[in-house]
Amino acid sequence: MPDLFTAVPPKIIGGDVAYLAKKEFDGKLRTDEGFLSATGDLATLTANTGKDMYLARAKCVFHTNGSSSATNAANDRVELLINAVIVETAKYTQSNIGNNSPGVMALEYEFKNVGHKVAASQVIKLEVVSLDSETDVEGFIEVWEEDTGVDPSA
Amino acid sequence: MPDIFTTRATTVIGGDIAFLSKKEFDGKIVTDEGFLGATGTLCTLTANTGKDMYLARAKIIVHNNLVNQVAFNNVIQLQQNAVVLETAEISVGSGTVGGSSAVVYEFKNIGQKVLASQVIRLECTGLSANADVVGFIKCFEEDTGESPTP
Repeated sequence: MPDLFTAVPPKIIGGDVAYLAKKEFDGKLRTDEGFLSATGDLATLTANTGKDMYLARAKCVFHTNGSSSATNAANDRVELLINAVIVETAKYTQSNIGNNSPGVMALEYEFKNVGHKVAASQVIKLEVVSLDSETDVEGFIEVWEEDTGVDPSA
Repeated sequence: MPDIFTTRATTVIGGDIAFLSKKEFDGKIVTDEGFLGATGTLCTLTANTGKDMYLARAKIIVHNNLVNQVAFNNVIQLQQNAVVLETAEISVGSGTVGGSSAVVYEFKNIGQKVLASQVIRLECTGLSANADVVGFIKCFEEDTGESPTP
C-alpha cells in the first residue's frame, strides 16, 4: 500500500549557476557591459514591455590607467541604481601613484544587492558619478526577465 | 488511482539569487546603505511589527580618504539586537611612496534573525581620521514564527 500521507521533500538542483543557466535556456537572460574613463552611464538595461526584470549580477573593476601623476587620486564612485534609486555604492581611492611608487591594485567590486526587481520600462544601471583622471572603470550587469507578475521561482 | 494525498515533491533550482528574487517578488526585502567619516552607526534596519527579520547580506568598503597617511584601527561591527556578532578590522595604506586600494569586506554571519522592533546594524566603533567607510545591509522579513523557507 502506498504511503499516502508522507510529504515529499523538495528536490534541490544546483545553485546560482543552475538557476541562471535555466533562465538563459528559457531565453530570459540579458547582459550589458561598459568601459569608462569619465563619469556617465557604465552599463544599463531597461525592462521590456510586459516584463518584470530582476538583477542577478553587477560588478565593476577600478584600475589605474597608467598615467604618472604624483598626486593623490580623488574618490572614485560607482552607484547601482534601481529605477533611479541608489541602492548600493562602490568606492575606490588610490594614493601617490607617482613615478616612484609601487602603485596600487585594481579593485573588483561585486554588488551585493541582487534579486531586485523593476517593472516594464524601468531601468537597472551602473553609473559612474565620480572618476579621477588616473582611474578607468569597467562595469557589467546581468538580469533576467519574467512576464509581469509571474513568480521568478516558478 | 492517483495518489491524491501525498504532497508532491517540488523541484527547486537556484541559490541565493533565486531565493532573494523570490523574497523581492513577495515584497519582503529591506535594505539600508550608509557612509561615514567618523565613528557611529553606519546602517541599520529595524524589524517591523509582527515580523521576524533575517540578515541576507552585509558588507563594507574601507578606503583611504587621501589625507596621505596610513589609516589603521578601522573597526566595524555587525550587531544583532545590540550583540556583536562579527567584527571587521581593516587598515588601508597611503604614504609618500605608495598606497593601497580600498578594501571590501563581506560579513559572513548571515541568516541571523531578530524579532519585531529589534535591530540589525553595522556600527563603526573605530575609524582613523584618514579613512572613510561605506556600509550596506540587506534583510528580508517573514511573519512572526513563519519559516523563511517555503
